[in-house]
Amino acid sequence: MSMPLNFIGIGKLAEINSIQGGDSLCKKIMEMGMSKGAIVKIIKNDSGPLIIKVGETRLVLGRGMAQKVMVCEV
Amino acid sequence: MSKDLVIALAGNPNCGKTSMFNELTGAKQHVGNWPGVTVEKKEGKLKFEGRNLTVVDLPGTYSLGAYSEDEVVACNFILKDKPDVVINVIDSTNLERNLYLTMQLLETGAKVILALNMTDEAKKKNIEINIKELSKKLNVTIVPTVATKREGINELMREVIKLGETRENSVHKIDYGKDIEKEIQLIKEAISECAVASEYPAEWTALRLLENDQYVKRYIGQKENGEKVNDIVEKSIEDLIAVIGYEPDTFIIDKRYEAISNATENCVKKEAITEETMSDKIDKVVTHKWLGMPIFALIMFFMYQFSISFGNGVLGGILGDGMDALGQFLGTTLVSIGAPKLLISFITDGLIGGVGSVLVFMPMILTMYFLMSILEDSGYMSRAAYVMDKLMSSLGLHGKTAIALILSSGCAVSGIMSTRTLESKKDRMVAILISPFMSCPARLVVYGVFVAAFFSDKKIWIFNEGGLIIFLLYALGIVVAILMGKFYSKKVFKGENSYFIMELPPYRIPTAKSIFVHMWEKSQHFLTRAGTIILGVVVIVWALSNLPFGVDAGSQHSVLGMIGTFIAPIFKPAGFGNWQSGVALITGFAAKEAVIGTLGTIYGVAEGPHLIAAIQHSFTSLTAISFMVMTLLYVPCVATIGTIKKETNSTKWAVVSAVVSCVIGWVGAVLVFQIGSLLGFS
Repeated sequence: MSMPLNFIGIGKLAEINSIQGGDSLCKKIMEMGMSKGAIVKIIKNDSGPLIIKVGETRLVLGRGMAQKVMVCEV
Repeated sequence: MSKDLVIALAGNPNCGKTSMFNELTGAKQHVGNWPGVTVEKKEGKLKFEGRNLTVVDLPGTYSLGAYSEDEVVACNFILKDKPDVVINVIDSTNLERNLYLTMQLLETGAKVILALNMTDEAKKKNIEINIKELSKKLNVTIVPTVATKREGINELMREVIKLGETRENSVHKIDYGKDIEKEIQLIKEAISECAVASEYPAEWTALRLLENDQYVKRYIGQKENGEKVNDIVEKSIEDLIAVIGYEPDTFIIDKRYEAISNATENCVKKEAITEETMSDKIDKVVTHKWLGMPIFALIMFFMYQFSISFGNGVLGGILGDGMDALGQFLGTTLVSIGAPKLLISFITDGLIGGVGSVLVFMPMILTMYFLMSILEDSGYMSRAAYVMDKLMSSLGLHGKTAIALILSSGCAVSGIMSTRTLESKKDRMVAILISPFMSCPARLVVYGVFVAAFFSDKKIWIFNEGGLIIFLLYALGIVVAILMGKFYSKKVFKGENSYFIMELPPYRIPTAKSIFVHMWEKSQHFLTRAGTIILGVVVIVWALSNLPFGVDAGSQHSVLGMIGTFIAPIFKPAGFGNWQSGVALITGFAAKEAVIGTLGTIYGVAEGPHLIAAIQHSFTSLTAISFMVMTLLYVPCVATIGTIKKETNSTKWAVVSAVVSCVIGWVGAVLVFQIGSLLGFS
């Protein structure tokens, strides 16, 4: 089931299905490694921005942005 | 004769590109750890096997899009300046993401060579890369390197020269599918039919336009007949959406990643990412929901306390004694050889009193920059930005503004430069305009003298009272910056806040060499300034305080005294209406530490070289504080204003920044003095 990235709990893994919305920042995070099919690990997800890990990259991702990233928990 | 080559270094942030640059050119630069640390164009030269090579370090970017100026700079250098070879530095531990930029570099048609960097760290993480196979699939030369240990650098340079000699460019074509290819052809034809005089290759331009790249779109739009091309592109994009079902820009990105995974499929072996690294463990503590903020505050507090108690108290004390002794020695020697009185006054009051009183703060500045370099090079800066984001965003500011503010507490110029990593223009303007309110070491020089005059040796609990006051001044700077930020982002600059995206680089234990080099780089402009701007100011101040001839030197009747007396009434409500402070504040415009240089000279000329005693005589504790508040907030120094003008590309905003800060500084100082007086302090 597809859901926004910020719905995934800490320590869980998720696979990226799509990134909604066409603004340039969506493209930017795709270019930073959050491409379709990439596996993301949630490191922090409480209040404020999320911290996630894609490959060996740790990224801080604003909550509003995370809402646009549709994922499947794996 | 072998040809001289121009080589560009391209790569993601934190891929070791700066270390590579240092190893290649021997330039003394620092290895920073937060994204976008190389914002300026850096060039270095080296000789390799009898050949002159120029190396240009491009800004670290994730792609060649147009999200930030860094990317535009990198892209334009490759396409317009056409370097002979582009070395694409790649972090081996993070291959897939790094190869994304590679794909875009290859699309430019430049001659690209890959430096597979940090292979030692990859080995530690059990990542195996079959270089031969990968090189074959990507059709580029790949050289494994460990830049920090100079491994593989010579092989790399040999391959670079070999590639520079060949006529063929690197060829690796991504198959975007026939739909995209068809539209690319259409747009290419449109470009040549409309005869748009573009400096970029047509195929690349067509692809970029399909990707909806705003920079290229604007560029083409400005050309004659360019709008016609853009109209055709719009239709192409619509057609593509109908065929593939979504925007072609994301489709193209997906295709690039597909090409990457095809290339790496059988060449890269690695373990799953679930293992927790040391960085993850540290992050659990320093980015903790409740602990993060106190840890950040503690680190900052410790940094200032240590700089002041050790750097200034211990080291500065020794230097100060030395400076006094030097002044006395020079004075007596000059008298004994019968030097003219004016010369003696110039050397002991002007040079020792003026420049010397600034120089004694070098140890404090060095200590502070030493600690700040550790913070920056270790990778903590971006965590600080994360921790501060909650506070920042609740005020309508972007989290990365915190990085600009922290760096501004080192120097507003570097803080303002760091705003280039902010994507939205609004966030950037706000960050630029509020950066100058942060206390910088030049202001610390002023605080240092005034605190030594009124608040030294007193303790509040275990803390040095002077340290506490300086900490409060820092806090005031932050508060004013944040309030102004809120004002600017709510009232002045309309538009949406952009989202917060930032990489948290792995923690690295900075090497002693890199910290000392970094510290030295940050501090040397203070030394240079002491020998140039401050010296110049001191000479002028000294001269004006001795003119017209026959006047009592350093008195109110000197030219300097008259200038000071003219503006002094403005500061009467703030408690320091004496002409000396008026003059000092004027010269502080050149550089804030010139305030002390000027006071040192004026009082030196009039009363002999005892600045602190003179200040105790002319100020009270309360007016000292209001004077420090004024120094903190009023007009940024010339260098900062110049940077604001350059970065905002607008004289208007530079002037606005100067005027607004003068008003705020004056109001702040007046409030401190008036409220303090009402409460009975003096």
